[in-house]
Amino acid sequence: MGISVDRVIVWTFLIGSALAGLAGILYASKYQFVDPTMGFVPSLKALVAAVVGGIGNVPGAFVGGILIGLIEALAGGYIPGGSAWRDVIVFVALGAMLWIRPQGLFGVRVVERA
Amino acid sequence: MNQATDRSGELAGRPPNVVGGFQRLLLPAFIAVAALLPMMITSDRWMRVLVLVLVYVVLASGLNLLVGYAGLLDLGYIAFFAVGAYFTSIITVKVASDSFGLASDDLWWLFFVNLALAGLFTAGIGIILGYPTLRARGDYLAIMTLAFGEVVRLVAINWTGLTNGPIGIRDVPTIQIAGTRLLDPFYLYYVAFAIAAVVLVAIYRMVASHIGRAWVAIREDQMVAQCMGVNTHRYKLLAYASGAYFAGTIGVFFAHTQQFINPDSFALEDNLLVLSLVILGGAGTMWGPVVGAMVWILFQEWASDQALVQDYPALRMLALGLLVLLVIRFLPNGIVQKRTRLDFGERKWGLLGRWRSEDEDEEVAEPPPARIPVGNGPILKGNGLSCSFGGVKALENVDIEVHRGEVLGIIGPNGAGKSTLFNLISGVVQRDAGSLELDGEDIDRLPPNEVHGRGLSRTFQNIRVMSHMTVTENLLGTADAGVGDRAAAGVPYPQAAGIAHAQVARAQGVQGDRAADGTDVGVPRADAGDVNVAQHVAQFQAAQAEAARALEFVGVKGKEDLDVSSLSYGDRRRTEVARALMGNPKVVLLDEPAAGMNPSETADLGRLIDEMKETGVAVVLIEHDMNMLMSVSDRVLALDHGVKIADGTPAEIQAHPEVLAAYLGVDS
Repeated sequence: MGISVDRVIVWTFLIGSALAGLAGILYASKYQFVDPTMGFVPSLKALVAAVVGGIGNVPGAFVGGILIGLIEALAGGYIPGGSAWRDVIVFVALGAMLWIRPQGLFGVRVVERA
Repeated sequence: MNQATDRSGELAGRPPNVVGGFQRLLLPAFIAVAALLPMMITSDRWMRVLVLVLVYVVLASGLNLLVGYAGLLDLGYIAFFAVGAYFTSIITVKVASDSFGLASDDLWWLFFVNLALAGLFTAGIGIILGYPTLRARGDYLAIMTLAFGEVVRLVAINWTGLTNGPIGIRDVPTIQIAGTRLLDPFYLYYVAFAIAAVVLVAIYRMVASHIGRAWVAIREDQMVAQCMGVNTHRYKLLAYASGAYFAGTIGVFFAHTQQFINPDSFALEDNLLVLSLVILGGAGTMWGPVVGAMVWILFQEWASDQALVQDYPALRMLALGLLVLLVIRFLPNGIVQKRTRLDFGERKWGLLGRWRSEDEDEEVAEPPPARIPVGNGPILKGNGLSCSFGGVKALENVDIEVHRGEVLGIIGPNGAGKSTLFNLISGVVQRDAGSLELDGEDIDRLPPNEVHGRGLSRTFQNIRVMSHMTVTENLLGTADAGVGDRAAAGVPYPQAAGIAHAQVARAQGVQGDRAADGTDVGVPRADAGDVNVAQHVAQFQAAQAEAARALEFVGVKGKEDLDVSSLSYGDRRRTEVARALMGNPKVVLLDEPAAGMNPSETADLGRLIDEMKETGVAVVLIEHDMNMLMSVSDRVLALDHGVKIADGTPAEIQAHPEVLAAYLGVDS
């Protein structure tokens, strides 16, 4: 159909990586600290946010990201001793989401074509 | 190799398997060496290394069950190992010693109890995690397992009351037997050896049974597996829980041999290490993970003596990474260069199994009675079927009726909703409105595997076969797993194809409907929990015989052992049809079977459909080849834009103004 697959993939990677880089700058300037493995937990949470919002849905990812950020920050602040558990709470939210609404908040259930 | 096995080999049209003398001795020799190894090695250090090898053998084999056989990518497998280790440490140290002040020497048996309990505990966690996740797309599992790994690590660090936090739990008692401490790695080796042996035999038995074949079918094409009657969710959950069980069990052993665990004992990298061992040795093979674990752990230990590695310890992981890359590049199937074979268990059951009775084999030879429809009405009946995707109405208020022994053709331009109708009937997509009955039984909203179990089978518009498996394996992959599922669900299931039976009956000039009751014809019933060797062998042989008959029926005989990828297009289509005929369906849906066939192949297919009809199977056919469709169909149903525009005999349809309009774009 005239789509250069390679080019689309390269651009997808480029845009995705640039956004991750941007997030890295924000993250580092907030915590004033960098190390080589700092990306692991945030990228995992990014996946959680995408799942919660609905994978393949841009507004969903946006809302999911804000929601996860809020859950994490509020849980850390309001629950006594919650700061140690905030990551756990985020992952539990993922589990709960998969139980209740596997397609995410905005996602449509994807049906595989036979 | 006993007589029964030879005969089943002949049934599938291939020579009886001859395992070379060398290969035959390989396994016993390996076990003997492994058992005698401690006698030959005097160094304590290397004995400890061997114990570690066994720990990794169990971990890699357990992960291979998930990744290699069932195709489930688990990136947090070590978490189950950690949970097992913490489970026993908390019970023996925190609860028994600290809270109740019991002496660990008196509680030596607690280790053995925990060995069993920790597995159940981790398997339970596996089910809780897996139940929602395994319903979703495959990549969700990778995310979920990664997250689970993090959760376990965070709990271990932060729940200090339970886990002592980062300090970890010290003084986990050594393994003892009635007061004798097994401190010497010489004894520990044998304990590990026993655990590894039990785990490997358990894995072997699962993999060699219908369970393993269902896993491979799911790995290759989940949709097909489900449409051919495999309860995919249940089998995936079983794989996940079993993998968790084994990891938890060996975690208990690990904690008691190390006598100390803390969160750092279970690093994130270990997940990748174990995964690498699986790939290194060969994913989806029985012995690959064993070889991978041996090769790598021994190499790693040797390397740590080298000055270069002592200066730069990170070189070891670098070497592993390089090694995995090289293996993927040059030995894509791993060191153990065997692809998954679906019949390997059947060939080797004699080695590990219990006795096999001759009677069971006799029952298989006799073709059981055909599955005769029980109701009187139409065999398949759909009323007011509607279905939409997003805003697009794919089907709107479509009625369909198929009678026994009838061929119903379905025509319509592209996008008319033909394939959607098939997906709807077979349970792949759910309808928005309407009702569906198969032989008087409500099949509305049933998942595809249960629809198949009630006697409806199908092929797919784009051929969906496991291309690097043999023809026979393609049929077997799902067949006897379906048998097990149906038996467990209490659905009567005669084993061999009624088609074959009807053929035989025709040849003998007898009526084909000898007996309508298919309740008890010596069918081996497999309960999920009951792993009876004789039963499995019988079940497998029945499925194999059925596959041979189905292949003969569609005319792919003599090519059973070829990889499907090497077959001609027509033969691949025929293989798919044969697979659809497995399990003796009442209705078969064929989705564009002639697409891409040459005229003579198409003519053969037409004859095949005629023969299917003669055996009493109802066929619903979607086809763009009008000549073929009109010649084989008794009735034709025309769809356009999701609406039924006509229904009648081929002659009526060919003259129908709306049909002509839809095809030719003429105003009617």
